[in-house]
Amino acid sequence: MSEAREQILARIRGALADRPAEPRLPPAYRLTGTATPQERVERFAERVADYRARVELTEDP
Amino acid sequence: MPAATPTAWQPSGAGRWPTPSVALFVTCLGDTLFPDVGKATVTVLERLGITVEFPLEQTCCGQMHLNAGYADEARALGERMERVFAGHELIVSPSASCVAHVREHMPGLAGRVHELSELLVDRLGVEDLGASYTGSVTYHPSCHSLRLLHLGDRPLRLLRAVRGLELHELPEAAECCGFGGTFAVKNADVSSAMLADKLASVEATGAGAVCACDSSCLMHIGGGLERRRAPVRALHLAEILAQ
Amino acid sequence: MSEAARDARPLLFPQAARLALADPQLRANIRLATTTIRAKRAAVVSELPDWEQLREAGQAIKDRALHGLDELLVELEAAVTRAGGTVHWARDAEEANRVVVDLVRATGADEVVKVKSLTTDEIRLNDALQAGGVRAIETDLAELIVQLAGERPSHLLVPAIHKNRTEIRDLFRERLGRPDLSDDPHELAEAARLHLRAAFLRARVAISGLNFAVAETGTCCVVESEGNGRMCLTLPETLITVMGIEKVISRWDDLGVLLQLLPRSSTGERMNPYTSLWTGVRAGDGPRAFHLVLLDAGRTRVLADPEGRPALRCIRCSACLNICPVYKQTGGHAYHTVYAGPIGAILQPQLSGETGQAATLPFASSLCGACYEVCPVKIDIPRILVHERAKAVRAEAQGLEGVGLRFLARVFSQRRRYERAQRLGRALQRPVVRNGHVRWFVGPLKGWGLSRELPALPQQTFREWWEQRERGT
Repeated sequence: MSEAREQILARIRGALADRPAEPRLPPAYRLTGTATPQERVERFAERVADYRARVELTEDP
Repeated sequence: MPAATPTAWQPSGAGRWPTPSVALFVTCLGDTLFPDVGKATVTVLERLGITVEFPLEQTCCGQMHLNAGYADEARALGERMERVFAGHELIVSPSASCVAHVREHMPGLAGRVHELSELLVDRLGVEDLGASYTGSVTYHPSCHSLRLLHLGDRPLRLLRAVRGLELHELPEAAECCGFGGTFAVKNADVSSAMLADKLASVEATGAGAVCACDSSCLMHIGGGLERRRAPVRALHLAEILAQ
Repeated sequence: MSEAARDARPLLFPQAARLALADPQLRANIRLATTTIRAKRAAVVSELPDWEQLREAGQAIKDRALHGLDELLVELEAAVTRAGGTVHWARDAEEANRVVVDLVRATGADEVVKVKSLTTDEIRLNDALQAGGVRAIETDLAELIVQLAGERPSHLLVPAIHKNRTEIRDLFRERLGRPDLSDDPHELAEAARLHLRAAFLRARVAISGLNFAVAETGTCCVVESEGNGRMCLTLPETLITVMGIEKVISRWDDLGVLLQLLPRSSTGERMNPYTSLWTGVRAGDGPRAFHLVLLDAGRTRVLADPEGRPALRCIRCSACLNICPVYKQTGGHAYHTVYAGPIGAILQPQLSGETGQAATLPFASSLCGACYEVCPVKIDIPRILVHERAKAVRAEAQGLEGVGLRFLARVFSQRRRYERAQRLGRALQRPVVRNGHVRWFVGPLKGWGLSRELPALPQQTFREWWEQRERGT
């Protein structure tokens, strides 16, 4: 492997001599929304209109 | 000035409490350059029937040294201050920035020290101090009071209870006045530019006085007002509440 | 300020600031731009009820990445290589530039199109390319303007913030050969678009930076507003991306948090117009060759200081610049670095050492704390500024200021000494004081006297009043 790679990795390990044994994990964050499909569509239509889009709601084809 | 005697007036809302005694931390700036602020603080507290003590060994909390990069000197001053106030359960100061510094860097004193409006509103439950002031005032929230102590609207509630006082809201109030400790002289040009904006905001209110909880900001803003010969006074909150 | 002038004399911040303050056009531009963007940011942030939790998550995501940086870089390298890319490591700017120039020349191309990248500005890649016979065309509109004007960017995000429409019109008329142009923004944008379209279509090599690199999948992410990034990342046969090693994040899901934080904090938008994500190469779609250059250039130095390390969380949103009351007055050029404003003041001295010009940057602040309030990854900038000031004071003697402050600390360390000093001060001030005010501002007070009066030391200190009262006199 390259000398640069080894040196950078060595520098990092040396720099992190104080790193915690247990990394602080990010808080569990929700990966899906809580809105109903209807609410989601309404919010999207409202916000995309901010970008001067013309929005038409239709029935399921 | 004769020692204040308790008057017939009683504070509302808090009922009776065992008269506490409070140690005053007046700050090096207050002691040396703005003694009226300390005197006003004593007046306000004694009017409430509180016994004020003044530990004469106090000098400086070390905030300026720490912020200027002289960490060792600041630490020594902090350790000294902890020793000076060691025997005092309740400490009050008219300087929001010094209180923020003590809370952050002196664990021994952190729980015991209060900024004046915190003491009045939170600990004593008092907003009306029986003060009167005829004139218009605008309030500048210093950065430390706003972002470190989160004083919120405590000073405003105290000012609103002052009879005769007309409170004008300061535009762009949260914008730093430009003092910043040694910044005021190390970067005097930028500090002056920031001051000019703050003065423009103050003058836009038409108020006859600008008020704050930090003598350092007031020294800077007041100094600017005087240079401009503006008809606006710079007053500490304590000075208004003592009227 | 032209690049030549800047390099000839890197002015210390106070002097550079004074120059900037003397430019009314610059000040007006900065003021308008920062006021506008502050309002936009505040509006979109207030829409999110969980903004504070997002900041916490952003901080934790970046901290986790920094604490596992060596493993993540190895994981990233494996994932990118598996996906058909090639990873290179560069210890410093010179090494990175050498790698990139060699890669470009190996393709036979004498021209590259570039996506805006602070990292490549930091290492002065364009200069190295030019020395290697390669022309670098900046395709971000503001970078194009700055490049045509022969200047350095003055803001992380809006590098031409110091130029107004009329100045841009004049520049395009001259440098794009378009004497017909008015200062209508649509016309100016179209002129730039035509100029750039020709460059995109003929380019064989593109160079970019990136916002995030996901170790888990080997995916690189560029967040942009204009679409020039999309053009550069997809059209040419060869793509070379230079990234600071601190840009790596651990998991794909982390992007969900960071992509909510970044656009709202930087341009004050709910989402930016173009977000591009690519993993290695893919036959028949986009570049045939992808090279990722991992750059240290002082970042391991920052990593080694636990107090200063949080500066590496930065996601380059520029919210701190826009809220900074100092930046509002001076703009970015006064900092003389690629990274300006509050983040620049803590990052640059750590990258390059706390001496010389960089050492004046941590003092370019009143410590108001507004930056910390808006930082999407909760970097406690004021705390690190104070930490950096202490390093600067230890690294270089501070002259009279050091003597004065150390003397003052000794005075404060003993009550009698302090009281004597108060009395002495009152006596000594007499020659410079009149009518209760200082009349001659000497030494360190000269700066104060620029714009402010200073009261004389009163005839009685608080403690003297107190003692008198206690004695009943």
